[in-house]
Amino acid sequence: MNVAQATAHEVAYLWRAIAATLRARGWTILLLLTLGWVGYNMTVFIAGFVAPMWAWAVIPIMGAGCLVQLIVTLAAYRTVIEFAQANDPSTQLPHLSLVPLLSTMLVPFAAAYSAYGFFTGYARDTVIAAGALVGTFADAAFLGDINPLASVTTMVICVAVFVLLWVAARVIKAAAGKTASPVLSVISAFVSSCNTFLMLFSIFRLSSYAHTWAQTRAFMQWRDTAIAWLTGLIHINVADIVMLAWHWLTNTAWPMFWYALSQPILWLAVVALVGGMQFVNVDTVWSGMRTRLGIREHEIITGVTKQAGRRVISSINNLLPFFHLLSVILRSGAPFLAVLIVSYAAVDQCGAWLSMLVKRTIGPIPQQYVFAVNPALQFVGMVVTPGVLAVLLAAAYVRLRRHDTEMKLARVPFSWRTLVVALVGIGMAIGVTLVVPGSPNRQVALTPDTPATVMDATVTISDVRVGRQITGVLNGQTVTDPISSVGLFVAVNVTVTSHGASSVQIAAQSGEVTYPSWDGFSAIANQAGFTTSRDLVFEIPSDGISDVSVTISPNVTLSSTIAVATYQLPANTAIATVIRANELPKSEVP
Amino acid sequence: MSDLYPAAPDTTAAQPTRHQKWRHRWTLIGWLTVLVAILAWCVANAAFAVSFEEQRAKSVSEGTAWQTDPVTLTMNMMTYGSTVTIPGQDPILADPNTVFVAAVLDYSLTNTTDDIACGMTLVGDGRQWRPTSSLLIDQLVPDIVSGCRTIDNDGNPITGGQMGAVFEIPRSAVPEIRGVEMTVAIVDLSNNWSSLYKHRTWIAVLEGTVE
Repeated sequence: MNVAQATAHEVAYLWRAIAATLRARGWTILLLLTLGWVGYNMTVFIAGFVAPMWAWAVIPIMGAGCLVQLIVTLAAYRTVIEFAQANDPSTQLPHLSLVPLLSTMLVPFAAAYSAYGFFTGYARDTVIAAGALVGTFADAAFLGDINPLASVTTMVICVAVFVLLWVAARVIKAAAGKTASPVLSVISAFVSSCNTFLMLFSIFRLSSYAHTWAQTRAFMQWRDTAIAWLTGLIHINVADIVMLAWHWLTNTAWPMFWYALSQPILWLAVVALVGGMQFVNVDTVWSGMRTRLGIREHEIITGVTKQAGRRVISSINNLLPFFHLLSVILRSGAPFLAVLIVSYAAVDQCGAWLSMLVKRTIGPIPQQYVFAVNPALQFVGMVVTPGVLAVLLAAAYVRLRRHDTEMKLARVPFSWRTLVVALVGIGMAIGVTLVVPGSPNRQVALTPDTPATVMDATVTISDVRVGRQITGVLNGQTVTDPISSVGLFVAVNVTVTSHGASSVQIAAQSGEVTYPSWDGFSAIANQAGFTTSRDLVFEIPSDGISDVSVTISPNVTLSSTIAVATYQLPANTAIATVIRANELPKSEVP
Repeated sequence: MSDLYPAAPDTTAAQPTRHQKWRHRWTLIGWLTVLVAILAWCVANAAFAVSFEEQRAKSVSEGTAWQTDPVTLTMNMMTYGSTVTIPGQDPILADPNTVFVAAVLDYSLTNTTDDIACGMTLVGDGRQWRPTSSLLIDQLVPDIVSGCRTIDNDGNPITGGQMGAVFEIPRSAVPEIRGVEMTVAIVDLSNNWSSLYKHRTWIAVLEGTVE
């Protein structure tokens, strides 16, 4: 079988397996992940409600939410793995009961979830819930109380609680191991989960502190001095090269690697742990290394090297299963890996598109309904996409195990065709990841002097002016001597009418850059039943005038979906020498 | 391709096994749990969320006292006109098609140790108006204050009096005015933000007729 045939074979296998598993276990997966979604939102609600009053209570509540997620996701993974195994002639794997699985899987599971932003999203939703359930600034009260950097007392409390939980988790885990008590296993998992949250809060705070420190003038001065010194030394503009390299690394290379390539492999490793994959131990690895390095037993100097080498391997004993898994996955052959990463990216992107379509169907959400609608918006991302991905990973895992019977790989030999398949697979995965769904916002095209509805407000744009200098009432002062722009001034008049009170935000866009209003007041607030209008002035570069648009959006900062009205300046808009504008708002009742 | 992935076993023909019955029972319990949890979440959200506070605000009929922990409030009067007069100054005319509405309430403090914030908005048909910032009630009638003040201008503790606000609204909206929405909170900024939110606010619509 050549590489092309092997790849086609993998594609056929994987997607037939996915279809069969979804047909047979689709409703079970849906139920389990829906229970997780319900548990998540219930804990977010409770955590948000109590957060401003008892900030520390949020840690165990979030720990409980994490535990619910863990249980249902593991149950879902186990369900699909069992079905996939039952329908494949590969070696049957040992059956692991759920409770011991919980205590062994918590750390890798939490680490994988943390790496892909689960905890960040969880914390963000809790902060939104605090604001929605208790009131504005409740989020500040919550985060302020559990900030380890707030004072010496909070730092001591954080460290003491962390140590206490760490010790408690290990003691309970040891007791659970001795007594084989499922209750103790769950308690151990819960305590570990709480500790993970506490640690993540501390790391979040410390990394924020480091980031803030890096933005200080002193650090920036050191950096600039170092770059200037290097530039003088090698006569190359190091600053530009560093900036370009950094930009490419952070905006292109790293996101591509992290989301398109690492996710399927890391999650497959987690699924393999759930599936009860057997792992090598210290002795096997040490023996293999000795053989590979050609070191025979009698050549080892009186046990010292032997002990030292073995101790090094022992020190990473906890990480051995993970490294073993990674090596098994990465050596499973280009066709399998290519199909895995492309399929994973395709399912993930389909989920993102479906999520966008759901948001677009629901439409713009007024501020007061954001918290109420949020769970519905998360359903696709928390239930549908993870469900299909779980099935995909389970099928891939069973396939991987068939390749890996007795720890040996039935790999396709390396050739240039294999390399082409690998490169095409990586290219396709990255390509699929790049097809990002558009904004779910409702777009409204504006034409001058024609009212348009933007959620609860009716807006009209008129009197569009472009000039090199400006006079009028600017920033609260009457300006008679023209002020020159380094680029061009763009002035528009915006009128807002609404039945109830409303507020809109206005900005200019040129290419990828958004320009706020020149005077810094980019919003128009309108009282119920009134009409409020004012001029807004934007200063943009001269070469950007060919592609300028003015956007008007409601001031609903928490809403994930809003309506946005856009006016595109005609390319042939006349440029005057001096324009006049009045930035003072004028309210009246028509 | 059947050797690649055999079809799922046909489970419809056979009688349900004990395991299948167990699975069906727990599936049913699971979906019921989801349903109950969603209902509980919706009810709790409607009952507690700040977003729905206005819908939950109780209505207090005209002339009836509204009692909260820190303060008792009673609608005294609501009046409107196109002109207001500040003693010693020229009359101020409302903008075309608008009128001024003045709302005055009697307030009585339970204790004078807490700082009390009393927010007021004018309630119409599905919309509200904030007090006008350019005209304060105590400019019109010096004895009426803008909030639930606990001390007078000389710094002496007071236990109550009259408070109010002036609104500028469209003339066409006068018939729909049904009262003022009052938000009462105990303000304590001496410690930190969290102490402020240990007390949830009290909120009610005090009904009144504009005359």
